[in-house]
Amino acid sequence: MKHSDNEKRLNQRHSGLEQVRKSSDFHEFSPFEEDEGLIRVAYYSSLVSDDKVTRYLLPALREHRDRLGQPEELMDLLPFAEVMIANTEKEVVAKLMEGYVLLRMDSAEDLYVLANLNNAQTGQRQSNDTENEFSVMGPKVGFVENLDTNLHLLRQKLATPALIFETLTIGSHSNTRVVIAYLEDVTNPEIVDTMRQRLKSIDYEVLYDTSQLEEIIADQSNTMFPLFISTERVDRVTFALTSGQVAVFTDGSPYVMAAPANFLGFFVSPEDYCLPWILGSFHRIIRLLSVVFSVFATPIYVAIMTFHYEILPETILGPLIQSRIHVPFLPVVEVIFLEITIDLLREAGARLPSKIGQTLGIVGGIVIGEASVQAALTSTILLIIVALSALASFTTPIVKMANTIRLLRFPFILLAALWGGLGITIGFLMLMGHLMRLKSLGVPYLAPLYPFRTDNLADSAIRASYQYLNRRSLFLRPLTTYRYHPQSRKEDDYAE
Amino acid sequence: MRNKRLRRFVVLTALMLGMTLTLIGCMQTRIVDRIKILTVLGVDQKNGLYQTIGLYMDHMENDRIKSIHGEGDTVELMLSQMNMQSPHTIQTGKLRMLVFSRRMAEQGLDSFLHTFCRSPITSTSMILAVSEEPPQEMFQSLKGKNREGLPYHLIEQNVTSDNAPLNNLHIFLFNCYGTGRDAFAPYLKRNKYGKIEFTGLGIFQYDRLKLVLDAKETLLLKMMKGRGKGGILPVQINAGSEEHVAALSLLKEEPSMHFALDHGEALKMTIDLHLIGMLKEIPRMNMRSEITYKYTVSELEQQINDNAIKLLNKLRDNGVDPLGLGDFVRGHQRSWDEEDFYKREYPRMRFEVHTHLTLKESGIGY
Repeated sequence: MKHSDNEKRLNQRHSGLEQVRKSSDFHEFSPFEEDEGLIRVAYYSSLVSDDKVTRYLLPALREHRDRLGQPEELMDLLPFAEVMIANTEKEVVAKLMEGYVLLRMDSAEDLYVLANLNNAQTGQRQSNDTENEFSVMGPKVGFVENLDTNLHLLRQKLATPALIFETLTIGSHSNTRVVIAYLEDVTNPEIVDTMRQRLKSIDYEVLYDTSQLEEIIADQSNTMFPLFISTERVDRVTFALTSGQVAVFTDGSPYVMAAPANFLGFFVSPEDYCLPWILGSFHRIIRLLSVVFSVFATPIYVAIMTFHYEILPETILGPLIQSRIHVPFLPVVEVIFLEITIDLLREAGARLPSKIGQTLGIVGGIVIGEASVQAALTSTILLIIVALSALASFTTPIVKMANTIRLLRFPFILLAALWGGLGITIGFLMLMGHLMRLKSLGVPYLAPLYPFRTDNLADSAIRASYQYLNRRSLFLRPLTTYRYHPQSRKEDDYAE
Repeated sequence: MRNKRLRRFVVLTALMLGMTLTLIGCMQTRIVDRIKILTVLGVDQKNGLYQTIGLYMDHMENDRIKSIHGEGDTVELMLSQMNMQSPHTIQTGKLRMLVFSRRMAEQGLDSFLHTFCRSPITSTSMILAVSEEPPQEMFQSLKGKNREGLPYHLIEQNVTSDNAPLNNLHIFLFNCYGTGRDAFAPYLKRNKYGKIEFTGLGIFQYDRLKLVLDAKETLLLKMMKGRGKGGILPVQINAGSEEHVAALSLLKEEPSMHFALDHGEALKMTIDLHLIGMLKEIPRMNMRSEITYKYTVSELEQQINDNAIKLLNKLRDNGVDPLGLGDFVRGHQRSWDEEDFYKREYPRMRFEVHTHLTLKESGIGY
């Protein structure tokens, strides 16, 4: 990115220690009133634990007052794990922003001693339940807004030295720490390189959440589909890493991004692996079917009611006609009215506290539904279809994908209203064309379906038994193919 | 560059808009509650005019059958006259049954079939039937009844319970236009209580109704057509001195045909009928005794043979061939000519039926 000279000068001025002193939460004082030049302590009181300063730092300084002459000696005296010496002001400012305490001596003006006394845990929420990706079976530990806690959670789960964290700093104003995590013996280095390059090339102001990164570094930003999995579940990130993906953590975000993602991966729930494989497969198939139902149910209703009454047997056609005989609107108007009502309910429910949200669901669902049928605004059968397709759209485990699927039906409804079945077909072809072109970190989005790879089908639409799940997904080009060697299978099954 | 992109955008948008408008123009909107969906169409021809009655369900009034009448020189004119009387457009896309009056069927259906039934919107699984009186009069009694009253339900039921051979427009047209076979259609009549009853089968010669079979003959015909599974045949049983009528309930029917030249030139058609059935409502007799059993079975076989030959002779004498015997012979003869066969060989054909009956059970009814 190019900056004008003026901007550059402004940046330089803003990065010095002078700039730091302007803020009222920046404290600078000397612990010894009579000899102010001996040592000066400076820190952001909003970032540093006052408790640590008064209980450990100041007593230590007072105790060894006579040995405070040299910075090197001071380093040994301080009872903290992270103590360092910096030479430039720029470095000092960066560390101050992370919650370090600056110690300066008049005797050594160019050397800055820094000690880490930050209070990272303050202001963090205590509960780390997985709120948005709930599961009945399996662990319920989720990530929180603190990066170190998140890394701790992951390291605890993957206790191997192969797990590598790489830290980058992104955001001209937020200077947010972003960590790339990967398994060195599994993940293809090309994927890590691509991710690192894309993250490094970002120029952005304040990074609030990992989800922002997703759109910034996406291969194709003009798409409704999420190109990376964003999750708050520790087990899902662990699974992603072991299958050869990289994970990206952002400080201050409970969401972790796993890449490269494929379309079917969004319908995998960690719960599938906690249930018997037959049940797991059943749930997965239900989820995929519910996507189809959720996208196509109402458009097909519109198409049939507007154009193709012939394709229904008359025993179904009769009740359908009877249910909407008093409705004055075109089928498409009726459908859009109800679909938007459902989306209103969902949006309102998401913005309200959970208890009011529940009440709203009852009020909206029962009262509005019942009343709009009574008032002949919609037909009862359509109400059932819309409610079912809304329900179906909530089965997708990843929130971002669920939202996409909910939105996807609107263009289809319009196409169905214009051209009936032909319109749905045209829309479907365009959707497939779009999906086939999508790539996530250079890996085809529809893999293993397109390009078709039989090796990876055991863990795609179905979840096969564990003895067949020991191969990693080959479209991720992992460094090692096998995850484990089940005893029930013979040795020659593993021939590469 | 910006200008170029803008121009491309405008051209693309205009193109898509144009396409949209053209395609919308092509689509015919038919919103289900704003059309009249005819389910049964009855046709009669009087002095060259088609006189029709269409039955549809009135959903405004609790799904009751209603009728609409039309008249016209052609099918299209007749439909447009129906449209003149209706607040909604008439749609024939879900037509399930087509009923011709006997009068019209005897005059020939060719012109009607050629126009109406070839339209792509007409379902080929539609049932075709012949009614004794004009459909307009026959269907009067159905008005105001519910869905059950629509007459195709009764034909469908009798086909599934195997009282009648399967028949629909597709099969009818195949039999009608195919070589070596003749079409047939269910025959409807109003009984003495005013209800519509399925009484037998109308046999066509090309497109003209030639012969009407009764229920017993219909069952025999179905048995010889093959691959049937049911039906009840009345049979005579000799118990001691008195004649007794019992019901032979059939479970499986498997015919096999072969033919040979007999005495020089006349063809002899032999049909082996393998039947499995149950004898019901038998008189007081001991079916467990071997002699009685064998005697009864051979008696039944003889009766079926006689009846079948009588039916085959009747069909032959009327010059109709609903069994497709001509087609069967065609498959076994190198030089077969339809006209020649039906003019010279079919009228002289002799029939032989060998029934092989297996009685699984016997006893009281049901």
